[in-house]
Amino acid sequence: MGKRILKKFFFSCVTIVFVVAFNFFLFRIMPGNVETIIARATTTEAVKQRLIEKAGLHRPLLEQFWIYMKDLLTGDFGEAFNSYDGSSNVLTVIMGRIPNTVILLFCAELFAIIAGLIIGVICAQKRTTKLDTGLLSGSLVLYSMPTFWFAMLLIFLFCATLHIFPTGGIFTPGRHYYGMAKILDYLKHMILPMLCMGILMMGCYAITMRSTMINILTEDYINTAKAKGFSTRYILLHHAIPNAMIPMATIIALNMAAILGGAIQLETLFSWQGLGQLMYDALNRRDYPMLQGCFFISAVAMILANFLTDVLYGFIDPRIRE
Amino acid sequence: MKGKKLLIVILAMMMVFTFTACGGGGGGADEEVIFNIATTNGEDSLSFFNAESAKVEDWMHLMYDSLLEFDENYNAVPHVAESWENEGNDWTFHLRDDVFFSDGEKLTSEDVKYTYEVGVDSYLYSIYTERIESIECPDETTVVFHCADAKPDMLYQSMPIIPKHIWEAQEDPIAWEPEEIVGSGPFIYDPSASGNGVTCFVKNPDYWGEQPKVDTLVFTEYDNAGAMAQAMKIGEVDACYSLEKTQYDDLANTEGIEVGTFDAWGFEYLGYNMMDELLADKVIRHAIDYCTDVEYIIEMSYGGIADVAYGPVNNAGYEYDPPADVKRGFNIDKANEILDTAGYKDSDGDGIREKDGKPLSFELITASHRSSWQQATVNSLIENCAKAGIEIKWNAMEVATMWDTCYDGNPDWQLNLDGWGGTMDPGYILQLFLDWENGGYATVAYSNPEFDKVYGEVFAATDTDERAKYIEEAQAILYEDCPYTYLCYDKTLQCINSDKWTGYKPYSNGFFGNLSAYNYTHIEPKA
Amino acid sequence: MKQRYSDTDALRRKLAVMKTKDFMKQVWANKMARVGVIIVAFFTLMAIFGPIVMPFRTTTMAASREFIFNPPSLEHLLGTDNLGRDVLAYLVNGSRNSLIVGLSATIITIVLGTLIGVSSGYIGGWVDNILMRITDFFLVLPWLPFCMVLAAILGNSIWNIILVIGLTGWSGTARVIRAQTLSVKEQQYIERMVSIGAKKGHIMWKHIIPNVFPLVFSEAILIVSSSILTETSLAFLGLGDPTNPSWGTMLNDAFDTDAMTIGAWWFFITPGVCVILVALGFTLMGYAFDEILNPKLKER
Repeated sequence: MGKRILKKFFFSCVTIVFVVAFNFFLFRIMPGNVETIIARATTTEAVKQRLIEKAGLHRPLLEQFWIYMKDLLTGDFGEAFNSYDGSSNVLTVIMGRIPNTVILLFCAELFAIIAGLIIGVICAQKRTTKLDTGLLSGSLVLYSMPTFWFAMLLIFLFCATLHIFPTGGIFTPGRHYYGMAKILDYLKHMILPMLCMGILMMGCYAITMRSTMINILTEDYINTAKAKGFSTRYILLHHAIPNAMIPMATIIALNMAAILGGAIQLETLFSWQGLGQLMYDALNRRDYPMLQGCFFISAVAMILANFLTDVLYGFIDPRIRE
Repeated sequence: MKGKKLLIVILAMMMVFTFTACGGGGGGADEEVIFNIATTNGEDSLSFFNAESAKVEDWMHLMYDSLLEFDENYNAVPHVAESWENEGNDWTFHLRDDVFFSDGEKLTSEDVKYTYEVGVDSYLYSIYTERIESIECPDETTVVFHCADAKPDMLYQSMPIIPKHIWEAQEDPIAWEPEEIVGSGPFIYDPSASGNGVTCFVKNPDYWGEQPKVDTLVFTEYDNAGAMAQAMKIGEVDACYSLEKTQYDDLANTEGIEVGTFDAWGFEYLGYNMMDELLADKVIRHAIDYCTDVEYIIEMSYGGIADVAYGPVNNAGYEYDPPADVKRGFNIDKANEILDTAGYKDSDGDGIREKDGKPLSFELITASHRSSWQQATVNSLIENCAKAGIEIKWNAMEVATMWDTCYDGNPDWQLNLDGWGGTMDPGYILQLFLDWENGGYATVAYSNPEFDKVYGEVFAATDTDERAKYIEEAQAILYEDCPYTYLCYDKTLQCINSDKWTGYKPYSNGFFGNLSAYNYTHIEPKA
Repeated sequence: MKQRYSDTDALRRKLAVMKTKDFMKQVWANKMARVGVIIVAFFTLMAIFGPIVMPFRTTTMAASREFIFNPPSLEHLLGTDNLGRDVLAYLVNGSRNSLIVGLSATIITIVLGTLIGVSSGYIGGWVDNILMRITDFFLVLPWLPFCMVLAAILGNSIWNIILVIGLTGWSGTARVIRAQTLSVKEQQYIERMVSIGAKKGHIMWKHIIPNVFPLVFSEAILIVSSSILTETSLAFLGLGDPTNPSWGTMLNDAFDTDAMTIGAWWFFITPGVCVILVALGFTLMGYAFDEILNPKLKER
């Protein structure tokens, strides 16, 4: 067990090193000579020189890479070409954005898992009925929907037509709310993007849950339990659903990457000041140091999530332990 | 069981949120007057040195004062400088002595001197320091600028005066991002209420001039232009800093919203690379110019909200209108005629003219993020040029790649769509067309000694009429040489909720972003 | 986990039964697959013959602003777009590029994924280790920003977009194929072949690949839909090819010109619905094929 975790940990570290190296060289071959970008953004030679020096771009490539690695280890992500949220320190800006993204994605994920689970279980239970077909095709349609398109529809419907939710942002501008009122204001702004992402992911989870549940419900031990006279609810809650969580966990971990991609579109559409919106902004401004930082953070988050699921597997599913 | 409880809690919480979402928003008999402005996202450094966008330039006017203010037509009016005089190459400004920074220190001529000296390193403000050789402070309220020439653009200055005692104390003032901002302006930056896409300013209670009518100015970033227009319509925000042209009809027809279309200094162009063998021939440039249906392009690409351009300068009163005998309108027949005369013939019958085996086939480079807007321009060029036997192929590139390709002296590109922005000074934008190896940066490798000479005159002339004459002459040279085909002077759209607010006036360049703090200090709620 | 076939005969029998004709019958009998096939067939026909029936030039625009964003009428069944072009013709012509992108990107994805998955699973050892680390790496990369950066590097032509989608999407496939290869490898008849000295390459081509093929096939069909969705996302983020109209560029045009806000729903909704339908069609087919071809795989 310990050996397995250690091996997984080692592999994760290797992947991180890959990401770091890739990250560095990818942005060095990006189009737009960095100097041209800086020159376009500034008029005077002095300012241009300062930015180039700040980014260390006057040094040879390998030396830059060495410095980049060293800085990363000491937690120094460097300075962005532009400033965001009143700062140009990459780490400060990213750290400031992370809570917004994590809260939004966590709530969306939670919503999607719970709703997907319920729908999946219902479908499996009522297999081949009209209800099953309806829910299944609904889930499949959601699964096939472009994120930004759905988001635009929601904005149009709930904000522009029904006026139920604010059109974007995180807080109501100009209102100085404190304590509970502030939290409620935050939540009010979060509901629509959260629902949008949650509903889209829900489809995927429902489909997975349904097919796993169908397989589990036809297993022998379930039949045995039924024969022993346990109630359907008891069997579902104590045998079927816990067992179905293993493939669900895989899908959830694999979905992380897709969710981040969705976050870019959603956060931009809802003006939600998170990591995705930051990435979109940084890409538009060709702000390499900032993009590098965002890439690194999101890749590490993903590696961590994969590692944790792997470890969790060991605990949930004894078969994997060897 | 645990799971069920959790579910109930979550459902209950969601109901509460939905409830508050429906019920919230209204109420609250606030005394505080808040003016809410929606902006597009973008650069938001508040540092004097690193500020970049027009939006932040506006904010600088809220936080700091300049020597001069401007009326709607950009004539200088006294502000911190009560009066001024010009003698030869020297400009003397006399300052008020009742201007204080928000930390209690007095604003003196030393602050002005310091600002102009370090201003060289500022992105936005370095243009105002050009050709100033030295600055002198005979006393606390007098500052004298010794310039390299008559500096006719001295009264087109909009430089925020920063406190010397604060900035000088910084180890690296250029990299410093101030949190608490000390300025003398009518508003003070409020860092506690800012963040998460919101930037907040509260009024300066000790302001030396007229007190602002609102207590708080709030700027909110919108990444989604459609959502911004909706927020305006349903009253979530009181004004929009910039709108998309497609939203014009929708908002202009909404009761209680005043939508304005405003000039923006600068122009949109189609650039011809003079390093290209074929495009070096003026005949081809003129032929493509004849094939450019600018009115149609303005109609389709710019939503009909832009002005026809014949020269780079669009500061009011300085626009160039070529005399009838040299004016090139949209005329495909004429294009065919001059190409025929110059010996460009379609000898192989493929519909494309050629000379010495070289077909008139060009690649047009545009920035891909503007494709949705520019496709009408490009399509119209492709269709019309085809009728004159010129083939145009579209290549939409990443904007950074485009900059890396379309630069002065690179022979490997042919046509390029882009735009330039100008300033309050009508002469400034002409700088572009100086000899490309000697200060010019029009990207097309343009050089004409005759133009350089006239440009020199523009900055030597002190008399306004004389200067206007030289600016016209310079534009006439450019029109004949045709390094660019001007597509239009683009306009900006802004709007205010006129049901709720009054006291503002439209400047020629906008309600906001017009180099003046007038509207921010004078806007007030309707009684 | 071991495959349940106890002996090779069972597997061979199964494969023999799976003749094309029977397969088609099974597909038609499956309700999900039938709907999927009908949708996909409809759009395929549209992509092949549509542009011939409804010719469309991106550069041909309306004469004036009066004709832009016109609501559906008899003349323009789905109204007109921001340049006064017929939305229906745009839609029909866009289907060709959208499907080309979806299918071509899938081919790249599947070829890469299968090659890497099979070699990793079959050869094992350090090759497996290296290939799986590379796969892990692609799996954790934030794919959409990565696509955006790659598209920015390569340029916006439709072939580059295909390349980008193909290059970023193979890692999931490689993992699945590797798992399947591992289980095929453990089957007795393969082990027997190794023991009688059959060449590795021969076993791989003649036995492993045919055995993982059903999985590859259903995987491929699922990937088509995600490729089409990725293309729309990229186009929406401004990385589409404006000279080759697709549903993605159409959605991008609609979004950039605020079609939704100004009420031109026909321009915004229709390409979205088409994308959903095609993606749905492929997904339905994929799931159904998976059920038919890999019944045992579902049991895990």
